[in-house]
Amino acid sequence: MAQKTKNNLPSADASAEVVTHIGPGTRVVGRLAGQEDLRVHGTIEGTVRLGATLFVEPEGVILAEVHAHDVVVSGTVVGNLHADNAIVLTASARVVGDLRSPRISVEPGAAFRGAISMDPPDVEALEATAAASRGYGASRASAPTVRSGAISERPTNGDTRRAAPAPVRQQQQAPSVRLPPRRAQAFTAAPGRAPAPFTSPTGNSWAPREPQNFTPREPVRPALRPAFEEKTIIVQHPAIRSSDDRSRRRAEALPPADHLDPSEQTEGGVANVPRKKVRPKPLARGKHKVERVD
Amino acid sequence: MATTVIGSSIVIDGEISGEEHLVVHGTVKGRINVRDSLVVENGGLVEATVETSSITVNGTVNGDISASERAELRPNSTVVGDIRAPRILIADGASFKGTVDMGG
Amino acid sequence: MATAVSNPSTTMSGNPSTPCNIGPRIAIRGNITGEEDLIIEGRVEGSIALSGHLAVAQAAVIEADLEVDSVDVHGQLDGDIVAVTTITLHEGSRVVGNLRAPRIVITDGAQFKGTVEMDVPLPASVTRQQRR
Repeated sequence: MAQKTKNNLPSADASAEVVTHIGPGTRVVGRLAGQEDLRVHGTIEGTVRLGATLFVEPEGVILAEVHAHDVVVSGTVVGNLHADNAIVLTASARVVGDLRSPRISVEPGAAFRGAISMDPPDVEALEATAAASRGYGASRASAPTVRSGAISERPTNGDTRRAAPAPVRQQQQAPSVRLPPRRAQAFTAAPGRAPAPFTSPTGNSWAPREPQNFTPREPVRPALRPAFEEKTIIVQHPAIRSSDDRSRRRAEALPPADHLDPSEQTEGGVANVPRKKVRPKPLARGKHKVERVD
Repeated sequence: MATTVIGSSIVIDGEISGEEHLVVHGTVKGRINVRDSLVVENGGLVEATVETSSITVNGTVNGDISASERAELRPNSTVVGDIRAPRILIADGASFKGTVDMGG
Repeated sequence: MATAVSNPSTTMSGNPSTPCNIGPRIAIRGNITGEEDLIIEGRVEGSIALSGHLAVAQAAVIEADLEVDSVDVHGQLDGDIVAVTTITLHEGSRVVGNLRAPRIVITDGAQFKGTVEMDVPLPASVTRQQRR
């Protein structure tokens, strides 16, 4: 069996006693199953079921569904990885696919795209206890359930991911604690206190978050100007002109000199102006499309 | 030259192709097409059509073998299938059932 | 309600030796924007847009989408993270959400659930089959 590090994670350069390896010029297409460590320098297509550690060497390419006890990736994998113990992506790993394992380690330098799902019962309990502790985060917590379900519904992980948010959602609907109105609630420094129940007209006083569409565009810098949403109070002298003010002033159709009280005017004016949706500009390098199977 | 080794607990159901030596301790079903030599070790089982340059069998092969150089069946080997190779060596103790074609 | 003040016309001290610190008994509901490093040890709900480094301490609970230069997560985070340089999930962190950055490091012991998007340079010989 491969030598383990002190964290009980398989290390990439452990020497296996039983040497099964696919050489660099070899290509296996089909189903591979076994109970010993496997080092792949070549190409495997299809499915891999291993009761031991799968090492994907830097020149190895796996285009397969992998079910193994451990997976250590230093090469290229296009396909979903399921491990019973741990998945390790080393610095030279290039993985496109979903990872599912109780323990996952992505080392600096690894490139990965896909979903990560750790042991389902732990995550379920984690989300349930976390949601219970946040008394006034109830309506906010429902947003991630919608988002995680809408963004990607992969058949392999769909049951896992949807199962986790389901108990959270039931917990939230029972107490039906809503967030207080945006401006009426006095700021409290005690985080444990739940505010008075309030049902906002939209049913969710947080801005409903539509599923983020990550369309690749040029590299992004996070917005340096404050995001102009109604919750933000911008202390600003009326003489300062900024583009955020332009739409507001146009909507109000009043000369700027009449705004004597800028802070109050900001709050009042924003309610009339169509809210500027600041969609987070996605970060994209490269030209490949981001495709999601919804 | 690198070698591909299929361990004794490995079962491959599909097609192996490559340009390297291949040593099979486990089970391979399907097709094998290696440009270099193929060795089926004792305990190895190959249920496949084999195309290789030279093949050495210590285990079991059920399938047609086509070797461009030579085919060798060692003692305790079992081969069921047709062999086509310019040079064939069947050792004493090997069991073989099939046709042999040494023609060019 | 907490106020998030970011006034471009005021010269922030921008002293890197004393980064802004949101203490463990502070809860913020709203949007945080800024141009310097930030350490969060309390609770934040809303969104965070920071052109600097964000550190989420072990005791922190964040329910917000992050748009930052880089982030080190040691605590609990529920939201998407978009980073310009690096996202690091340390041991003991619990993150639910989608990550998007050029570099992402998930340390062993971190709990994460969601998708990860990095630029993955696949070799030309690999035909990209979307196995989603």
